[in-house]
Amino acid sequence: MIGKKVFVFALCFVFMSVVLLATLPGSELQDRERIRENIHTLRLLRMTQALDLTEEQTTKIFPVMNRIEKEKIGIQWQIGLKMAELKSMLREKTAKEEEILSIVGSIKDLRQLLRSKDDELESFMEGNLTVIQKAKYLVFSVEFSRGLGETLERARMIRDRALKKEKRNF
Amino acid sequence: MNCKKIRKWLSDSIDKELGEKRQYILRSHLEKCGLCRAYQRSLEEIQEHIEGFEKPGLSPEYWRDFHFRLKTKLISFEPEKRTFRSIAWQWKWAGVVASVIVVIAIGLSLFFSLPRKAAEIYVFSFEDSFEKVYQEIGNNPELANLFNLVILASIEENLGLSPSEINANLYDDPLFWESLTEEEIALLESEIKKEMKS
Repeated sequence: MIGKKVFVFALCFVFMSVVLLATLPGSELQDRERIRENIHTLRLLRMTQALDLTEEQTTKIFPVMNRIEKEKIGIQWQIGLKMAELKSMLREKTAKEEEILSIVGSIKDLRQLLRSKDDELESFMEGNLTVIQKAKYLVFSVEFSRGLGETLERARMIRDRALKKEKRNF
Repeated sequence: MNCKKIRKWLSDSIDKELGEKRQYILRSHLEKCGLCRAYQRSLEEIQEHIEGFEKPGLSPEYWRDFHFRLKTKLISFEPEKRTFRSIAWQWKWAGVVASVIVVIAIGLSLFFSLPRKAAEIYVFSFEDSFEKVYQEIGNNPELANLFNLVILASIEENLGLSPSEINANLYDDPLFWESLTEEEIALLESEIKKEMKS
């Protein structure tokens, strides 16, 4: 019980720091990563409820999930850099084929690495969840993904309504 | 007396179908009216010519078989008439049936050609769902920020923070307030007034 409370407290701390960092002007965190981290936090919270995880499970699963998520963010960063490099090569049209091929190869490898991280998480979850939880995890994953789409729709609606109102007032 | 009426009586008088009283009126009118006298003469001339025509010489045998022949002709004509009517009737129904078939065929073809509701795509991977959302956001920092605020509000809600803390970030965003309709603002205003009174 204490472990779970500590975990929630830690999560609260992480969340508050993210909020603080996000509100700081000229924050180093990129929009994309900030959003990704927030989604990840929300996912952990929702998953705890949906799968009815025990204290023991949360102490086991969450550190691994956080580690994998951080690694994935790192990989995404590298992919982003390589993609920017590739785009500039294609734009300038001066790069040699070998150079392009090398970049393409490294992007492919990074994508493969990203997939392997997903697989790692999946197999870890397999080993730490009950049969019912495994089933719930599948359903949760789909529903969470759908929920993200709905959240985006909500944000879009707020923006559209604000724009409409702005136009009307103008 | 009206000349038109007199001329009609003249015709009846030639056919010997006019009464004595009218005969008297007719005679007294003809004495005065030259035009009607001229009309009477022309009628009498026509009558004379007609009487001069020879009557057709039809034998009694002809008349004896006349009814039989007429009947036979009618019988032979009637089925033709019936057939024509029934054919027309049949064509009418055939038209109706054909129209119904055409309507059903069009309906069915439309039903089958309409795009089926796309099968639901199940996204299991967090990576895929995030990528999907981020692609939809695209290069729109305003939308990205709003999306992030809604996510933060959901996190706060899940963490069980107090109602005043929930959505604090969202409420701080002027865009959220700008998005409210007049009715929503009026509702908020009335609720705040109620709160203040109590």
